[in-house]
Amino acid sequence: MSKKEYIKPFIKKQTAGNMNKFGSFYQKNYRDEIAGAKIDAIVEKCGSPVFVIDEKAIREKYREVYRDFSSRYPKVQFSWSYKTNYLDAICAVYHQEGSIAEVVSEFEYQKARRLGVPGNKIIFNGPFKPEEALKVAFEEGAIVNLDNFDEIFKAERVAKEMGQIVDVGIRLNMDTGVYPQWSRFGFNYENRNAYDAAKRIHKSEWLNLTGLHSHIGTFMLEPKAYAAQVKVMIDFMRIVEREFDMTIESLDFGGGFPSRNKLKGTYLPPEVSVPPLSDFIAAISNTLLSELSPDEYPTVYMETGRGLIDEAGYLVTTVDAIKRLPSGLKSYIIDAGVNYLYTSTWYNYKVEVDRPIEGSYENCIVYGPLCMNIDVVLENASLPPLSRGTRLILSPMAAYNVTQWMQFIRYRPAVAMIMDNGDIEIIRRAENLEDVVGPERLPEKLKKFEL
Amino acid sequence: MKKHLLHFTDNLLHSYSTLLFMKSRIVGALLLLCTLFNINIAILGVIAWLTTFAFARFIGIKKEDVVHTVYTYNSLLVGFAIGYLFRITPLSIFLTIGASILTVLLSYTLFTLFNYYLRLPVLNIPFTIVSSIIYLAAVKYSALFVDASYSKDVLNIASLPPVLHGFFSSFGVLLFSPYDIIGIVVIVAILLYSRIIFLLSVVSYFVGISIFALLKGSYSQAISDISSFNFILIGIALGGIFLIPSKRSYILALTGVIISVFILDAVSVFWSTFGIPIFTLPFNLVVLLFVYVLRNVGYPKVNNFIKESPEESLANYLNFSRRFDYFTPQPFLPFSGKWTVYQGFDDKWTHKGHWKYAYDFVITDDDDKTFSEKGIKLADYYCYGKPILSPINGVIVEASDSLRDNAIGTVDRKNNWGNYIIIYSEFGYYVEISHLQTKSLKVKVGDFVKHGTILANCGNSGYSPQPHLHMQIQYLPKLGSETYPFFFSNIKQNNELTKNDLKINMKIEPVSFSRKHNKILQFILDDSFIYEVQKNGEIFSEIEFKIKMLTDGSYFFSQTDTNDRLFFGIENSKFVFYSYDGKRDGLLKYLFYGLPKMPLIKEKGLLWKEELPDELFSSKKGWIMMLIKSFKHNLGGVMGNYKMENDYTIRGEISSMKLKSKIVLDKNKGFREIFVTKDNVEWRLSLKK
Repeated sequence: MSKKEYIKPFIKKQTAGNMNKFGSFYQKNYRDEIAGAKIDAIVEKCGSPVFVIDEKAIREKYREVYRDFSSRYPKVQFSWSYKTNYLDAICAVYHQEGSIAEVVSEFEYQKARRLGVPGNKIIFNGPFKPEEALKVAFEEGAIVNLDNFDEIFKAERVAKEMGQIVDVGIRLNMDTGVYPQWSRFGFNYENRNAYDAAKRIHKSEWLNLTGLHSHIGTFMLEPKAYAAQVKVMIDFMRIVEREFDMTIESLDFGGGFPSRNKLKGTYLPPEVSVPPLSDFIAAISNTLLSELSPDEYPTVYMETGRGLIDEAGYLVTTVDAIKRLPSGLKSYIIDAGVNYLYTSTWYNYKVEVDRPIEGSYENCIVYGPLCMNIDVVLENASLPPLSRGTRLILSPMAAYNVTQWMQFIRYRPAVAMIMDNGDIEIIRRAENLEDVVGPERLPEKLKKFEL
Repeated sequence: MKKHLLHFTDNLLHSYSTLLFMKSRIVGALLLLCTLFNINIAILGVIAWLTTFAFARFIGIKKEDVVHTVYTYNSLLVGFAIGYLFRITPLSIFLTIGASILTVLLSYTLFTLFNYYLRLPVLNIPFTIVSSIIYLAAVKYSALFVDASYSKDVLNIASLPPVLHGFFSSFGVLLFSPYDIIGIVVIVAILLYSRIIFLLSVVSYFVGISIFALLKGSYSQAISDISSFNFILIGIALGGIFLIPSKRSYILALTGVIISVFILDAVSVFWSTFGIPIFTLPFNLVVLLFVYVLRNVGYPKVNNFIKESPEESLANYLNFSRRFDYFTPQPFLPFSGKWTVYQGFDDKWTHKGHWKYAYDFVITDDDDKTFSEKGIKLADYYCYGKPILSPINGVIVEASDSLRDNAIGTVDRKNNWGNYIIIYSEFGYYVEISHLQTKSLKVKVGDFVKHGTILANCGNSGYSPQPHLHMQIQYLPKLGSETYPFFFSNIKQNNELTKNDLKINMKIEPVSFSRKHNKILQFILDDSFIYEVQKNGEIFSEIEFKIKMLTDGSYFFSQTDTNDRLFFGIENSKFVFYSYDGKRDGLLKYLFYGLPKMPLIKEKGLLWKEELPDELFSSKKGWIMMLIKSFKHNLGGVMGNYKMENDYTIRGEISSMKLKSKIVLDKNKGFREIFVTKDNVEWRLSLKK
């Protein structure tokens, strides 16, 4: 009989059953599959780490939300927020579902066009649109929302050069009772900046105001803010229609709906603290129906990104080393770091392991593989004792990471999509050296060196 | 001056053709020529006509007044009647002038009375009365030189069998010229003008004569009776003019002819005591009786829009009855988004008997479930709490929302209808919607609502085992009244517009109205559009379409150089072309081909079908087509398939005519491009700035 291994004693807080009335308990906090595909199979095919997207989950969520919205308001059009996740496969799923594209740069615009989205099915937002980009957008009939007076002048110049009257929208910002107020984008409603913008466009020979846009914030937790936003935009629509004889054909309420991610610093679990999306939709549509007469109903664009996709994505990582810190805290080093996980700054991800593990849970810290002190993926995770090679599955992961990740120190990993029939498709392969050095140019005189 | 003269002769010739229920200068001229064989008739006819014209102007009847056509053609007949009996002398001219003035007065009086109180035409009653008066009075005027005995034997064909002689001369009598040749000319004119009138006149004549002969026991007596032209007139008027030509109208026309036989005899016995002919008395009596009774009992095919010929009336009727339904209520869907039919008309659970014309709707997901989670809570049901939108423009007459929503699986047997709302439509029917969510009413009794206004939320009150929306149409305001059929406007199923009855489990959704498209297709009087026309890629011409309006308020596109007209309008959130009136190869037709009807929407990929009127494609083959169609109204019909290719482009195909079209809407107003490929010829009209 061999000697039992010595484990240093540690203090563990005892919890019993449901005594914590707020906490979320994962009855089964391990998963060996995602959408029917085995984790092992995914890793075997795509390597580790790997982002995994569940196609069926995207479609189901989209349909659920669209069904809810369209049965509450007759003219709604969803537009996929490219910056949330602009991998071709992801965008294509949304376009197949009927969503148009919402882009905020000429790069995203070109990406959407390349994917086959017609110009007039693209909403072009953002505070910076180069003149050439505006020209292409106008020529292709895109829905352009202008952000500032200089952009109005720019648009006017472009339209004049083209010799064509173009339809534009303007972005508004307003006080909806939430903090912070996103006053840096668009024209302010309260100080009549927006009114002046509409008036300026009305005076223009080349511009025609047909749409209003506004996006009040991100990860909004208060549906009433949207009701306030809708009310303001309807009021503004009436003002410009009456005073400037314009027809506002569309109202764009932007996005900002939250996902079921757990914000750092929040106490309640997201299941409790985040209102369901239907509350936001009801706030918007009820305001529309009660404030408008039916022949006024404008087309409503929604640019929801995070709220639609976040829960459909996972990151599968592998534990590479286990380390006890001098403080006594247990730590793990995994193969994915904050360079892939932009959102780790504000989320405490949900963590699952790929197999049932016996043993008591212990607070620990999960580090990424970067040789950087800031590379902390999970500051305060509660995990059973993991052995090397265990896979950690972090979620929700589909919003923003795959667009804001950076190539830093390591290659960026593959992104896989689990198709609705259970097939694993690589929708973006892992990077290699060529991908990284491809754009580099080495001046002749630097080519030779001896060490 | 020239214009005046032209207008004048136009008017005169039209009055002549009206004698045979026609409207054609050529026929008018032909008939005028026919009368020239008896100079007395010809001259006195024209004098009578001129007198009425002058007198009417003198007393201030405007030429636009509809009564104008009544006295002009009646006075012609009066002139003929006088000319038929008397030679032209100053005295007979004087008599004619007096009689014509009487005709104007009588026509005007009868017209106002008949039109206003009875909604009946005056026909030629003024002629019958005035002519009788003159003939009676003339008995005492010995100074008038009677000319009737002068027969024009040259105009008869001696070798003709008596039956044909009787037949032809009866047509001649219509012009007070009972001669074979005149009759033949009239018949040929009829045949060329309208096959339906021709058929009706021939059959009516022989049926009338046969009954006549049967009753009198003598065929020769029947065919020689000069009053038989009444049969012809009755046949034409009932079969083709005042009723829509159809098997039924033909049967009614013959019935009219048959009963006119003994009216004719009765009247003639009476009239002959005074030595005067019966003129058109039987015709007037029979036709007015029929039209009056048929209209009042609601006979559906009374012709309310009498066109220039029965063929055109029929075409117009078919165009409207097949393309537009003005009888069945056509509300919009009472909700937004895609819903599923839970129970249809005459369906398996509650839609039976008096209440069979009703629909129940629920929302379902991809697995056809109506709820998420376990479906044990009301809130699990997709449709629960969803807004109910008004399906019509109307007034709320009853509304209640005090009942509680039932728990899932239980029903309220006492209050079957649950919380409900009844709306009175501006078209005279009531819409009832049931099972509203408790305390969810957003409107109150007396409110005027537009279609699309939020009324309440969908709930589960009343006899409702799961949340759903019930809608029915009734003609009485009381809750639970008998239901009547209806169909929904502007709804799509699988991206295609549908008009059919909805069946259980069908998924349907409203198409949403586009303010932009509504604006693009709002045309204002005198809007002008200049197009460059290309034929097979080569510049062909440049034309202008202009928006104009008729006095009845119907708007049309008019091609400036040809005056072709294309009537249009917006109804039920659809832009429609009603009818085309113009040259056979007119360019406005292409617009009709490409867009007979378009819902005012912006939905890429939406498909719809639309029937186009046959006449739009009529070639020489159409000569007898309408006659055949009058027997079978559902014959023919040209179906076009249309697709909204993108927000502004509509592609069409009429496969039976090998025609393809593409219409591109302008972003501001009207149609930017009109492409039509027909018979391998490509036409392209592009809007010039």
